[in-house]
Amino acid sequence: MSGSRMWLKVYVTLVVVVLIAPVIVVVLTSLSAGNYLHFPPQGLSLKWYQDVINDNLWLQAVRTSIKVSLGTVVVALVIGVPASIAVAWHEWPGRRLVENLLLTPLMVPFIVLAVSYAFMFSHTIGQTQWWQLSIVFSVVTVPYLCRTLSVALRMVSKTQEEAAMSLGASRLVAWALVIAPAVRNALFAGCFFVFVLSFDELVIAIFVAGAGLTTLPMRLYSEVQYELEPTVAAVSTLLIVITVVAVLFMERLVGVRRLLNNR
Amino acid sequence: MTNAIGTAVVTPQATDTKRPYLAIGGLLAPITVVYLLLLLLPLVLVALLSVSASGIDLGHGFSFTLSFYEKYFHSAYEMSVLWSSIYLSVVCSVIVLVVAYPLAYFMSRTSPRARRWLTLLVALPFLMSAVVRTIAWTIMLTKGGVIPGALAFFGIDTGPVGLLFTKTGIVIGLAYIALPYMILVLATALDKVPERLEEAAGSLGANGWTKFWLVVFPLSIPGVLAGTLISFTASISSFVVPAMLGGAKNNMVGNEIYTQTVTLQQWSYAGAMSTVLVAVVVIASLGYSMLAGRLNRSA
Repeated sequence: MSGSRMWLKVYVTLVVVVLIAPVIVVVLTSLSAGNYLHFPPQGLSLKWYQDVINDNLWLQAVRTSIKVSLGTVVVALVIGVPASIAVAWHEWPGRRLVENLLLTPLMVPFIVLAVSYAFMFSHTIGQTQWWQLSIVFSVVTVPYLCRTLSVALRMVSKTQEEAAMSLGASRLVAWALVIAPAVRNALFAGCFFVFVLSFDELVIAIFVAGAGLTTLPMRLYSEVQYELEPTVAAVSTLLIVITVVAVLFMERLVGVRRLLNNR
Repeated sequence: MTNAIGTAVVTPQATDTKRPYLAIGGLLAPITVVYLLLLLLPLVLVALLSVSASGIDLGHGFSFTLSFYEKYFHSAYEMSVLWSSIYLSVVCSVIVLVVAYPLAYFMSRTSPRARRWLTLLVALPFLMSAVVRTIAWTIMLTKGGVIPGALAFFGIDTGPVGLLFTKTGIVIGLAYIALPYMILVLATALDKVPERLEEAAGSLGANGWTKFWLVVFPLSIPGVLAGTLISFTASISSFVVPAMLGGAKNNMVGNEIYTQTVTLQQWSYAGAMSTVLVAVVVIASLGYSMLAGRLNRSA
């Protein structure tokens, strides 16, 4: 028993190394003093980070991505919060079905949606704006928000809202003082999740966004097509840092395990 | 009754018993509108495009044609891309299943503390941009990179280009993206297999392997099915990985759709390809749910 247990541990360590090694390789490559995207790095320097900071196009892409992702969070909240309340607090025939339907965007191949969005956008609105990306990204990210939030809402039952209101609180006050604090963590974690997924989205963006709208992943993608300079690794490292921070935040707020649990 | 702000307040009980459907409808209205316009309509539109002879001018008369499907199914090149996409996705799902299973098993049986750490380590690549993950593999697979270097150490020659721009490279890239999904799904499934059952089997004389194949594995099959389906779906519809790791000669369906759409503006042809892709995914899902249903009945 202890023998096989030990082998299992060795194996688990190996798989974890495979999972994490690519991350570390990217980070180390970004610190290279050489001119090629190569691991192990030749010498150490921060010059590629300097290049990124001095490059207006990269900064522009960062700004666009932040704008798009914040917009996605707003749209996801507007459509996701009411939907979560409907499935968490109300008992009605068909509730389970609707709960599953809320998750359908995750089952459709994004590339097919991307084709259709590209068609719809190019034939109706011409130049794609950042907020239009926000709206389409919200469709493919809102399921995660709904899942996290409806679980939390179920724990504060509707009776707590009713109790507060029977004590004279308005619906607004009941929400501000009773419900919001109880679901705050789940709400923040859900928003983080949506933000990160939206910040990382490439396939839909690349189909839909024309010239003049370049998100960070799009810029990264087009950059690797042409030249393999360590700037690409430096920008990737910045994205990795954002992901690490988000993962740690989400862990503090509700626990990553609960967030990622499939049904 | 009036509240502080001065608006009339209907007691909540009254709202809920008299007009629950109105409230539910109102709460679901925003998401319904968005899903109809940006989830259902796009799928219908792609299907319509694929059978429209007039191409993009859907408004100016619609005439039905199957010529785009005919063209697609008669193109030896496109069919070889489709089959190789299916093949690579199946290979990827199987590899990921085998790699992920022991880790998922360990996660479901270890201390909460270790479980928490492992979940964080799995979540990190899971939430990382697919571009970043694929750039990492570009660095590692290229000629002179870590992986060909390590293989050369064991006497395996990977040729003049390393593993970049090969089918092996694509499978590695796809597997890396599917691995976190698979681990999380399997760990959830294995949580539901009580440890006591293993102990019971052990006390009846079953050894490690017997316990695993007769008790643990059969009970984890729902997770195995769900995990492989997710891996397959994610792989077959992927675009970033084959585009960056496959090079010009190893396209998958996603790259063909991209070329027809963004480069050539052949919307109807791209629509036919996309519809076939959706059909493959739907057939796979139906197959899996039938399998799961059969297992449920026999259990």
